[in-house]
Amino acid sequence: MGLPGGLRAVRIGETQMTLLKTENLCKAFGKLEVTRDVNISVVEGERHVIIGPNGAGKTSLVHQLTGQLQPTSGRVLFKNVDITNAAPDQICQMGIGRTFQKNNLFRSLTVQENVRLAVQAKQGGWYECLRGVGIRTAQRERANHILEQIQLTHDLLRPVSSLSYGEQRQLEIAIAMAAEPQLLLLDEPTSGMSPAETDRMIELLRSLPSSLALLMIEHDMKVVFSLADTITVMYYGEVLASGTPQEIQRNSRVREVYLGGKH
Amino acid sequence: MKFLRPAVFLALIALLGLAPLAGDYTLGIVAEILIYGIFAMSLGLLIGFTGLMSFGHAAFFGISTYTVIALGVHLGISGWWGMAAGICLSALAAAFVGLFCIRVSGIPFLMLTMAFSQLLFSVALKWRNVTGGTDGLTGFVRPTLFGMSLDDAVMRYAVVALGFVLVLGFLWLLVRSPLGSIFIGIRDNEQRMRAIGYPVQRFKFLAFTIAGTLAGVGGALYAFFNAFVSTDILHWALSGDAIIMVVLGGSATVFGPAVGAAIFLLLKNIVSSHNEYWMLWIGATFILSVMFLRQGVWGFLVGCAQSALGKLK
Repeated sequence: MGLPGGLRAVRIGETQMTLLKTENLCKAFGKLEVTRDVNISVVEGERHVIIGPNGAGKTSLVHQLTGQLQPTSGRVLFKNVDITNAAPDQICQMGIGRTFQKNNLFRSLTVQENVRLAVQAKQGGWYECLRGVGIRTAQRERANHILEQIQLTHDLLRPVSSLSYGEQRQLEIAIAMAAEPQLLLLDEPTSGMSPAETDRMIELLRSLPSSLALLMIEHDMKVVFSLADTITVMYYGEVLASGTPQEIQRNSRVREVYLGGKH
Repeated sequence: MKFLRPAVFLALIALLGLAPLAGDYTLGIVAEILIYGIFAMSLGLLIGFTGLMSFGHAAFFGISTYTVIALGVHLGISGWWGMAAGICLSALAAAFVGLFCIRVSGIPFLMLTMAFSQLLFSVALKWRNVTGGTDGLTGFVRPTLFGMSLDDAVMRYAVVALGFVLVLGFLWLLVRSPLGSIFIGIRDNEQRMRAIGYPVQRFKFLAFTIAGTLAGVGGALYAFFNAFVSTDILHWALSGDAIIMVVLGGSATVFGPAVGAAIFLLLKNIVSSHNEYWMLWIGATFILSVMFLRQGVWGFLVGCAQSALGKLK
C-alpha cells in the first residue's frame, strides 16, 4: 500500500478494462464553455487525479459524470454503457459513487443513520422499504463496518452536526462507499482540512481497496503526488495534459500554466 | 425517550376514553379536533417528514367529504361505502395531482398544489346539480353501526376517535419504517439521496399519495360529523389553516400537528364566542410560535420532557 504513486502494483493500460470514458464532453452555459471536448478514461483500480486552477471546469466535469449536470454534447460511457443522460440515482446504482466538494450530509440524522440510508439504497430494491424494521439491524451492522473502514468509530449515534469538519469529510466518503461503487469520484476530499487532517485523509484513501478506481479532484500537491497513477490537468475547460506523475512534472505547458509557481 | 412514546399513547387513549363523560357539546369539539388532527397529521407527513410544503391539501380532505355526502344524498348509498369510495377517490386524486406537482419543488410546488386545489374548488362551485354549489348539500343520513345511528354523539365520537388512533398508529409505524427513513432523508438532503441511488421522485410521489389518502380518511369522518358539505371545504383557506396547525404544533413529530389542530380549534371556539376577531388571535399566536417556539408547542414539550429525563439519568 504505502508505495509512492508511480510504483504502485497496479500497472495501467495493459490488461485492465476501461471503466469510465468520456468522448468529447462539452458543457456550455450560454456562451460560457465550462468543459470543452474533454476526453478522459479511468481503468479498473486506477487512481486518477484531476488538477487545475479554480474555474478550470473540474467540478462541472464530475457533475456531468454523475448526472447532476447534463452535457451539451459528447458522451459518457461506463463499462461501455452510455450513461450520458442517466439520472444520478441510476448512475449510482450502476457503480459510480461520489462525494461532494462541500459537505453534503443528512444534517439532522446520526452518523450511523447517514451511512445506513446509503446501505439501504444499495441492499434493498425500493420495494424492500415496505418490509419490516428487522432488516435494519443488518444494515446498521454493515454501516458500522463501513464506518470502521473509514476510521470513524467512536459514538456512531452522535448527530452529524457534532462531528468536526475533518470527520464530516470522512463521513462523506463513508456514505459514498456504502453504495459499493467500482468507481469513486472524490471532489476535493481534503479541501478545508488542516495539514494533520490531510495526512490522515491520505492514509485513509490509500487504505481503500485496490480494486476500487478513484477519480479525484485535488489541489494539494502532496495528496496528488502521493496517490496518483495518472494525472489529468485541466485549464479553462480543456484537458491540457494527461499522463503519469513523472510525465506531468516534465510537461512544459503544465509547468508554464500551473505547476510553475508552486514547484 | 424509549418509554415516553408508549406513555403518551396510553395517556391519549385514556383521555379519549374519558371524553364522553364531558357531555355532548364538549364531545363535539373533541371530535372536530380529532378530525382536523388527522388532516393536519397527514399534511405533517409532507411538510415535516418529506420536506414538501403543500398548499392544496384541503383538496384531498374535501373530495372525500363531497364523495360521502353526494353518494348518500343523490344515490342513497350508505356512508360506509361512501367512506371507502371517498378515501379511494382522495388517493386517486392525490396520485394524479402528485404526478404533476412532484416535478417541481419549493415555491413552484406550493403554487402548483394550490392551483390544483383551486381548480377543484371551481368545479365544486359550478357543478351545482352534484355539489349544490355555495349552498352545499343537505339531507345526508348518517350510517349506522351495530344497529346504532351515528346521529348519536357518542357513537359518532367513537368512530372518529378510532379513525384518529388508527391514523396516528399508522403514521408512527410509517416514519420508523425503512420507507419513512427515505422520506426523512429526502427532507434532509434531496440531492444526496439521488447521489446514493434513490429515485427521489418516486418516493415524493408515494409520500404525496399517502398523505392525500390519509387526508381522505379525515374528510370522510368529517362527512359523518357534519352531515353537510359546502365549497368552503375545498377553499385554499382550509389548506392554509392546516399549515398553521402543523407549524403551531410542530412538524418534527407525528403527533405535533394534531396538537396544533387542538390549539387552533380551541382558540377559534373560545375567542369567537367573545368577539369576532378570532383570526387575529390565531395570527398573533402563530407569529409568537414561529418566533419563540420554533419546534412548535408539542416539539417544545417533548424537548422539555427529554431534557428532564436526561437529568434524571
